[in-house]
Amino acid sequence: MNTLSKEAEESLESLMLRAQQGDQAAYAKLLGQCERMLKSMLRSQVNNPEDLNDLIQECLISIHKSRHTYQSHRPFKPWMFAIANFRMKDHFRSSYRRNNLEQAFSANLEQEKEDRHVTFGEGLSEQLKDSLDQLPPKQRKLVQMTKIEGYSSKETAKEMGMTETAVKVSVHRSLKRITALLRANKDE
Amino acid sequence: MSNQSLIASLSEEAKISVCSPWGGAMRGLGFSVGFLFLLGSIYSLRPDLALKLAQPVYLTNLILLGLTAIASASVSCWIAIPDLQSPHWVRLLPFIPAGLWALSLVVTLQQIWLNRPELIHPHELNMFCIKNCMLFLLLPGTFQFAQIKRLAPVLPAWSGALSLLLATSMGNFALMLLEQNDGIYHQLAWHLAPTILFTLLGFMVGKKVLHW
Repeated sequence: MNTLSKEAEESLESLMLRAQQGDQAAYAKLLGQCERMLKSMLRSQVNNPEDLNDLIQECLISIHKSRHTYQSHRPFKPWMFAIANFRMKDHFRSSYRRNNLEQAFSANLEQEKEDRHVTFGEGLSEQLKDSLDQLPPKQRKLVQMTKIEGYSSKETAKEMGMTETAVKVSVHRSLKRITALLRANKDE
Repeated sequence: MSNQSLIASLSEEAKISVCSPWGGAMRGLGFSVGFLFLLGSIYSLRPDLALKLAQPVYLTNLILLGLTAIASASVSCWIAIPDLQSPHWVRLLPFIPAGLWALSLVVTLQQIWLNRPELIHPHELNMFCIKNCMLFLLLPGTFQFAQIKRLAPVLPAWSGALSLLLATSMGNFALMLLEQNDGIYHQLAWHLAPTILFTLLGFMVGKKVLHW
């Protein structure tokens, strides 16, 4: 009889009832038991331990936030698992969205790499190379630094011992010349 | 933060007063009835109400709309309490009287078409009814959303849809008592169509607004 009443006293329902009345120890005990149940429920669904822990904490916070909706005459577990289910779906939805975003981002990155490859890499057109070779060495160097290697005009000027304006003017003239050479090649 | 320290900090705020779903439902329904009673005192009841109440179709429609409102108020709050044991079909309950009401309108239209087409007047569509829809819907709908928000809806979209179904059915109920326009086109365009549209809108808005 004693054991029975003790069991009844310690049931999740009675712990929740006591918690709602302000019993902090009962509430801590209840949340501890919830944590264990959630872990065993969610472990099969979430592989990453960090994600699993995050999800358990989210569920515990949700249980805490909605504890005013628990009706003492109703069983506790269906209430708790309904909240856990809700949070789990949320978690999967957001991770699915995140994965999609990551995939889209890496696809973009690949595309960008390919684009760069076409413009400046091995596929640099022969004509462009020829036109660049026809420039005086100093001008070629300036174009290479500013337009291919990505240095700023200021950095290039410092490297080449020139003023920034002189670099800009020289690069502008070189590009003009390259364009003219390319046009001439095209006409031929 | 470890789980143990989270539990320790949460357990410091154990005490809370319990919120009953039926309380929410009664408040939602009570507010709608009170608001429509207020509107009813501003607009007067239709003069031929006694005559209309003697017509079985009119009375049936009125009862169906009342049942839709009661069922929507109750079920929207019921499903806002997390419970895995609640049967899935519960959320569809309010759509039974609402569907029967819609069916009654469609059957009426068909009957008129077949037997007395001269009773159909397309000019009875009055654009001013938009104002009535908004007037009868906005406050009760918003109030029911606020009631649901206080609970923990695990089906927020359905709770939102049922909140606006409550508002539209109560609005239709009141308009049947106040408005003297029984034209079938008017009923379909300004009673049935807004009910469907606003229920769908509640579904979409509820998904966002009632998510917690």
